[in-house]
Amino acid sequence: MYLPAYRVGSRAAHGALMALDPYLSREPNRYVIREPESGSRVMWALVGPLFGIALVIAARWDRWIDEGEVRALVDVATGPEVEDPDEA
Amino acid sequence: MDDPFPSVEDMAAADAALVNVVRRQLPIRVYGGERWWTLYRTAALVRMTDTVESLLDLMGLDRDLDGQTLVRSLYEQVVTFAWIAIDPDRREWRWVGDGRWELLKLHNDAARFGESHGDPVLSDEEVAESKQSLGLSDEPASATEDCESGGRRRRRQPEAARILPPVTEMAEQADEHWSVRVRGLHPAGHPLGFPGLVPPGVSSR
Repeated sequence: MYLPAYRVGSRAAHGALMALDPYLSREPNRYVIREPESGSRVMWALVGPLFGIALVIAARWDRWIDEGEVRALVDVATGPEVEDPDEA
Repeated sequence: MDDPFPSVEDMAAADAALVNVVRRQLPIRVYGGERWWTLYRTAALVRMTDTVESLLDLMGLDRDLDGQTLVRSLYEQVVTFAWIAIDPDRREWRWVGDGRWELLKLHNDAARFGESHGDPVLSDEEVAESKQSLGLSDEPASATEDCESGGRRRRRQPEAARILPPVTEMAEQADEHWSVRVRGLHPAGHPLGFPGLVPPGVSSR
């Protein structure tokens, strides 16, 4: 999660030149600057797992957090669950 | 789309339900004698909840770059939270120290603009208290160093043990500690697996 969340996010946060690439497209004899199209869903898929980690850790103190509910929602937010060999 | 993730709508619905896990408990009241960690742990969760809710708004607008900025913020919030939660009794004070250091930097920057920009951020007493708690003190100037403060050289950085470590260092420690204690999230090897807050060796670069 470090690369897509922190490294890639740093470009947008700090005004890096690379963050402007989605605004540019090239035609045969010119460039066009326009509103960027939405790209990969990877970045949006990070939201649930990141928040889920915090909630599951907090559940060690806060009994109002249902760990099972959080895990189920993280699974829905990120796709099919991958079997953990340690859990088997 | 060839990525393995659910549709944006499905992700948003699940993330909204995660938001509701916290929202439905608010306001949360704690006794006056509760520990500092109890107060700020809960406040940090609500802050993260706000960030996730803002991300949901951006998701609906296809604002990927603003989403990246907020995901990075969420990442740092989660990493900091996970790192302090390893040993709150000892680490919460480094969170406090980090806050004091940021406030002191704000105070010093504001002071450069002079009184025309309003009252000082911190009083003289608060500056002295913050410096003492951060291990910042006046030291005799060396013969080779010039200094604006009239012959006295100030330590410019707090002692490392009094503020938060770099985010990559916190992430590495959080991965190491929580990956054997937190079960049921995607395992290592999955693109969103845990541990996965930081790849091995990044913090030592």
